[in-house]
Amino acid sequence: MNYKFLIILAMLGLALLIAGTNIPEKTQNNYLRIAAGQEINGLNPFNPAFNDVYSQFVMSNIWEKLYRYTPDFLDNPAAKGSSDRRIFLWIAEEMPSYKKVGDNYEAIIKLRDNVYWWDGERLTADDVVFTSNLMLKFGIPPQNWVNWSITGDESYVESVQKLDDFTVKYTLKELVPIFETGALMGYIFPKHQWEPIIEKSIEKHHKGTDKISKDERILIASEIWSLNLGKDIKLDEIIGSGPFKPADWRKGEYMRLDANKDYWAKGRILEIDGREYEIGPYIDGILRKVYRSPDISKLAMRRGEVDITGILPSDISEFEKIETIKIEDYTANSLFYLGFNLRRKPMSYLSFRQAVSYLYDKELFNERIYHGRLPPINSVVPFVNDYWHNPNLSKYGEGMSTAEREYKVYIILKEDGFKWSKEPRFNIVDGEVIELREKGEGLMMPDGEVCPIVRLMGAPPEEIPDSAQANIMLQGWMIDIGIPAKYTPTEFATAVDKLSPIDGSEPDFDINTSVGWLTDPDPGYIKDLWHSTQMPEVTAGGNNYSGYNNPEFDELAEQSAREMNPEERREMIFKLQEIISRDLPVYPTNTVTRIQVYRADKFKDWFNRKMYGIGGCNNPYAYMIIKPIERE
Amino acid sequence: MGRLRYPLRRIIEGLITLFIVMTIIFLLFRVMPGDPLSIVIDPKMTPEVKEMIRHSYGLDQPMFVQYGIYLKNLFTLNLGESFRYSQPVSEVLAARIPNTLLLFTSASVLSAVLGIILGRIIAWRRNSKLEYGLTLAGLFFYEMPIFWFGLILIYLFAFRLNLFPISGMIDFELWTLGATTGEKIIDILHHLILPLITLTTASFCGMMLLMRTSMVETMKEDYVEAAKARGLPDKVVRDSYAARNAELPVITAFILSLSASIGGGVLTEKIFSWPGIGYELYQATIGRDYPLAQGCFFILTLMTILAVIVIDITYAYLDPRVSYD
Amino acid sequence: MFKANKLGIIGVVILLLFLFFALFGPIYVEMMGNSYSPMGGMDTSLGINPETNSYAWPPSLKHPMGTDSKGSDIFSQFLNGSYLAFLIGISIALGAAILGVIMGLISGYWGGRWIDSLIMRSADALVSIPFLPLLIVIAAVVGSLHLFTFIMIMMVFSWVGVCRVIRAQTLSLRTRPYIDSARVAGASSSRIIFKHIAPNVIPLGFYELTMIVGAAIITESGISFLGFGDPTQMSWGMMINFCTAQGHTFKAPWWLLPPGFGITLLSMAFYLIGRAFDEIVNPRLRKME
Repeated sequence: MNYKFLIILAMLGLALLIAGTNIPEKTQNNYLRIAAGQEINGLNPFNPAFNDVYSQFVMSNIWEKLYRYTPDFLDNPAAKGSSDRRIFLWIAEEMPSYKKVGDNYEAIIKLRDNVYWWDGERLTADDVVFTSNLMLKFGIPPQNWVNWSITGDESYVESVQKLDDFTVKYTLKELVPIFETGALMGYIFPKHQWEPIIEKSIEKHHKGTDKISKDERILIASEIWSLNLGKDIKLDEIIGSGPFKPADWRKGEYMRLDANKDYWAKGRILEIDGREYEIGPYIDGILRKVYRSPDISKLAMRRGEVDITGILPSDISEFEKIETIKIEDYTANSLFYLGFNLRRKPMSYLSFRQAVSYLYDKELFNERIYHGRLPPINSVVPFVNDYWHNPNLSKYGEGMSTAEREYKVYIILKEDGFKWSKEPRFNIVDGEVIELREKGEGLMMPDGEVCPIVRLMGAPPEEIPDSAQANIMLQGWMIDIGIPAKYTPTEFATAVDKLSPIDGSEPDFDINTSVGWLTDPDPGYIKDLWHSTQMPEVTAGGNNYSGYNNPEFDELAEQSAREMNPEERREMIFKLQEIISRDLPVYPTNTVTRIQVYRADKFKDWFNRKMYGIGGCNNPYAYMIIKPIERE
Repeated sequence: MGRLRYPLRRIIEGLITLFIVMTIIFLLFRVMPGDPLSIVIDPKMTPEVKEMIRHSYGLDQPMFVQYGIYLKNLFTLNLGESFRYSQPVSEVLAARIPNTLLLFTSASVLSAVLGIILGRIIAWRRNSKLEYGLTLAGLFFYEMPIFWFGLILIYLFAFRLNLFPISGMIDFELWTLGATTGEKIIDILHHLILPLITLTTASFCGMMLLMRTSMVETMKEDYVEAAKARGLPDKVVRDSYAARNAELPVITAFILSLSASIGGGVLTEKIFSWPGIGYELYQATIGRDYPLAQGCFFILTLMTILAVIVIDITYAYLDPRVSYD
Repeated sequence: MFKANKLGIIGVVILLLFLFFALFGPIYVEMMGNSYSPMGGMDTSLGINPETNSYAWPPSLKHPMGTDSKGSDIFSQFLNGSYLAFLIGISIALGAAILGVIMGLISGYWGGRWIDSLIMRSADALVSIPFLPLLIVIAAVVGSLHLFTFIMIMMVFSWVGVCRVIRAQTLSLRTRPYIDSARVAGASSSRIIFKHIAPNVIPLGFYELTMIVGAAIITESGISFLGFGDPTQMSWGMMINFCTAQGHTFKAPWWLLPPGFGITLLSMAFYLIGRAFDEIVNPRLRKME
């Protein structure tokens, strides 16, 4: 018996030894190896669940758009104010030309005649009309629908027609800025691949000869988006027009995209920031490997297993020492905030909202807890979106110490009529607040009632690891002043349901710190978030969680959604930001900075973009222009 | 006649356990306040679109209908559609199960073998320095948080010494750009070493200590004493008389520890990004992919229950002292 | 008798040390001021450490175990972790002991009856539920496991071992002559169970209990490490979670190592004591010495 064990052990040992020493050699190649933080949700462009940045990154290399944001529209001063400088003509040859016809408007779009699908077919007006009709008739892809309607219901696009092979005419009920910056920035799909699939689905679900009913539309749409790209349509059967083709996919492990050697845009010159780039692709393709933990992808980078990865700000110093590796940062368009439920006391008091905003020391949190990862913001338009960002808003206590903030809050509350059974006391020397000496107790609201417990609904640590610490500190400061605060970690789905109950009942929260937004480049979202009709109890699933109701805001927001002149619209958007900052239905706290490191010795012409970084879902240019460096 | 009834009874009991556990899970997922679809539903979508999505996942049905569908689906191994992968859960799981089995069985076998051999040695040499040393060292590893040990191993062997890969099960570059089957096998083994060491180190001591206690008890039995009295060499008495019978209780304990060690497996998979069921469970829960999380948990429970039943039944046949009632 | 058992003594020494840590925690914070509070306290006088590029500094006189990335004292967190470990371990073990002893006594006394099968079958069922995955699933749905919830769930899963030991002993005891005579004398079942059987079998469950303490501490750390723990409590597992989440796993050993050693040594101490105790009270083993 003993011998048997020993033999098994010896064999195992031997196998491991072989495996440990005899590592197979890799073939020389020019694939760009990306360390990704997460697996992509999927490749089906119609599936609403696949709107994550990772899936969109892959999709944006497969299907292309009529227009694309220029990489420099956010940070190039020359781009400010002129709408055409903000947009690249991609499949379209010219900007749309508008004409008023009766009550409606007509938009004419000319397409390039040299765009080819991967299978050699030419991309024509038929494909564009087909794709637009998918939106108009079936509302797919759903994540794109918001760009096709400003009321969230009926589309402002009346119809779409083909004039000739390379000209498309849209008939619009009204002229809105979101048409250019949203509706025309969706992927264009090949009619010859998708039409048979749609028709089959219609045949299956549509009975009779009437118009397709709403229920049938739901069935058809959900059938289309449950198609599994990679299986129902094999990876190599997917037809796109972009620079990279999906070639191999082991879910949860890696994905390989091969370069499209016959890319239609190859050789085209892109002028970015005064520099000219010739479009490739020059690399063999992209290998996307999933690493779940930032520590592990960092190690992989240092060991030379990948060419580009994201790191934490506290890791910068490690990479600064490595010559072959370069560091770039970008600031995402995320928006985190304190959301107040204005329907409840004490949040209904403006003074109370101001008090909590003063207490939330976002500078300290960013420095100590997030290590520069979540830079503070004061507006609901992140500063990276600098054309629309209003920089002149109240900063609520910037530069004040904790004790000074607490004192300020005490004064604000006291002046508005809040009372304590025991007031907080401070050590003040020569007019300078040194520290809180005694905590306040028994806070009473101006109406004489005792202040109820205020729950801070925050994310649990597995979602945003450090937010728990920030919440606990905020809770501590609130308690110092005498506000009975309680941090309640709430899982994301529960939080969303409490903020915006699907059944249309009133939201159930006090202060929300857990759910943030990923904002669009177009500021049209401001209207969707705080318009009074967007309250969840008014429109089921609405996004105005706070229950903010201000006719002044509503009117201006509606006006801004229809304003075509960028300068005028900018004025309005600035004013809207001021109103939010003044009324504080939400207090914007932070946005997100990300840092990428990449191998400058293997590839050159790395191309960063301030808002999406290198190769983010809205920077598809990076990998088209990157070039391998010849090695001996 | 008890021979057939016993396995049958164990299987029925196993099924009942499974049923109860899965009902608890169903209630957990459906009664909780959160909307299971909130991960799929973008808050910016219109209510109509949101409704379409709910419908496509069958979540607009009444609760008891959903429960009925749920049970029927479990019975037919139709575990629903993963939100994240947009692929049947059973397909996702089918790709993960072999990976988990590879890591888990090799670690179990290795730690059982190590544990039994070492346990036998220290039982025979009670109160020696060797016993104290091995017990303390083994205990240290046994009580150690497995993820912490894994991190230390990665730091030492993958980061500092650069001997092993840091994570995952395969070298993506090698696999996608063409490798022979032989190369692929070696690649997997190469990736297997660190997680295997982690799991084995953490669990062999449990077996060792049990083996020791069990040996000490069997060595008091009359037939061992008799063998000793007959003047048989120590080694023969130890290996052929004492050890053989001492192994049985160790198996019982192994069953008891199985569900706990599956927990260790989940943590190990997470640390090494080993693409098994446990890792998938973690990912699914983090990503709010409830159908997948449910499926992973179902498979893990099924695997534990099956293992317990199989070991129980084998044990019953091996050891005549176990009654079949 | 403990003297003869060296490993047991080691266990007692470690246990006392950690007990001291646990009790010392609040005193330490009291002594050093609020900036040393394990949750939320931070040393504002610290600058950025160029080695870690954060406020994480290695051990110094001011911070005996160094600081974490936000400049919080690790020693204070470690002490608090020690307190939580005792709280979690002992309360789960106590709960499991009460459940296990009652179930074991009932099951053993009425061995073979329906109540016995019911208890033993549920025990079998519980054993075959992988509880860490279950905890993960529950935590995912609830958001994070509140400490109290965690303790309750663990109790439900922990009593089986104790129950089996107690049942086995009770089964063999109930046929003893003195139990029979008590029964003949007209004593009620509950009196026999608690007066005559319980005192004789309960010590045998102690070894199982010490195992439970260790398992509870380790499970809590695993759950916290994955990020499903109670974020308002700085337990040892939470310390490791924060260390990893902040990307300091491989550059701040003074942060990663202490909680790991704490978990290991404390669970080990409990096991060693339990084992020593078992050798003293368990008659079969005692003969061997």
